[in-house]
Amino acid sequence: MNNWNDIEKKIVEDSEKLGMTFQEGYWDEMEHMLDENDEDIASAALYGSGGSSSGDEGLFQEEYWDEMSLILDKEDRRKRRALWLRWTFHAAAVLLLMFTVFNHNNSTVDISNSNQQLADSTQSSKENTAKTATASTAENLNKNNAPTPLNSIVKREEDQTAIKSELLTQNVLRKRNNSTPISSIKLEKSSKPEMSFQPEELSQQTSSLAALSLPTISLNSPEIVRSESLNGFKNKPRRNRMLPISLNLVASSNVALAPKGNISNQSRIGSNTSLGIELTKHQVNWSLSLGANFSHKTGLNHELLRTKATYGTRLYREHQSVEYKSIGSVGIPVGVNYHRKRDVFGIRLTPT
Amino acid sequence: MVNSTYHRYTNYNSDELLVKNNYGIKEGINPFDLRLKLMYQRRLNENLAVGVNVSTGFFNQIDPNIITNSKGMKEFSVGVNVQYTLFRR
Repeated sequence: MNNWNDIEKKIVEDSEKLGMTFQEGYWDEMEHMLDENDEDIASAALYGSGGSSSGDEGLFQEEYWDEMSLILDKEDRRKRRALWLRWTFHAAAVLLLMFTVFNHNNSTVDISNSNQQLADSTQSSKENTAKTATASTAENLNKNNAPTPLNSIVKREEDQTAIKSELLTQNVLRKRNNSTPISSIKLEKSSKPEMSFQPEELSQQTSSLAALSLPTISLNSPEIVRSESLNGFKNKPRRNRMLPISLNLVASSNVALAPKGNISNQSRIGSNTSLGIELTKHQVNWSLSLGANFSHKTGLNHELLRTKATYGTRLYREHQSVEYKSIGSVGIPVGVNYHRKRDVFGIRLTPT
Repeated sequence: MVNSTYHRYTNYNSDELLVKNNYGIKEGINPFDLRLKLMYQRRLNENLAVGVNVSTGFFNQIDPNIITNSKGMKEFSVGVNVQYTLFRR
């Protein structure tokens, strides 16, 4: 094996031994077989994995596919129906919610409106009503009759005499007994009006008691709540401004006086920003607060200087300076606030 | 308390190595302070209030045993604050 010719000859001999030579007859036979099987292969690809048209397993079965298409159509209709039902349910839920909210708003009559109504009716009936009303009248009425619901008076606007008398007695009762203010009474529209007394009886009782020359209260008396005062209820919001507990997000940005430090380029001012939360417990005019905050302070003007001697092949003196740029700290502010209308004065003590 | 610092090393030949943002070094800084803040706020609506405040610290935040050439550092700042009520119960 000295040259390439010897190598080539050796390869040809080995390939002949292994039968790797090209034999044209073999490939003609193979091509003929492939042509014969073309139809079978195509049918196998179409109808299944059987690969042979002679067997029943690879055949196209029309009944099977009809059944499958029916099932698929049914599934499709079912899906569409489910989708429609779901959207219908959602729409119904939204409508129900809207109706509930709307109905709730209507069923609760704003007390400011009722007070305004009462005030208007009081003013319009000034000429027709008696000029005095006694406190004992109120007590008698309260004793003889069950507590009169206020909505019954509102419903009977036509009887102005009864409204006027009842208003006066309510006011006197409220002043004397320090009872629940009118603003705390919630009226329901749907409740059935019940009159525990007749207006005629009330006017008779009032006139008869007035005839007994009992202590009288003039309309100009400060015990009588004027219609202007009643109008004041209208301006009050329905929600209490002072609520027991509130959670607040508090952020502050301060300009700080920079301290005189030990660095060469000193800044005169610094900053102190903080962000935190506070839980506040409200009283009438006071509130207590407790929270947590993170504050970031800059403008420190200080550095830490150190010198260290190191011995090697010679003496090294190493200077280390650490310049403080900012400080971050976590604090727990505890505070007291005084509320005056919209103004709040507060004091905070914050350990950091 | 977290400090962010600039950290410089210089050797005998005045070669300077500057290392920035060495967080956590607090030697010479007193970690505790007590701050008093007086504030005034005005409510703009139900949830938002703005105001001003004055804040002062009670303790010197520099340790004179470590940072000797210092006159000390006490907090005194004036600023604005905003308060937002997240919820009420």
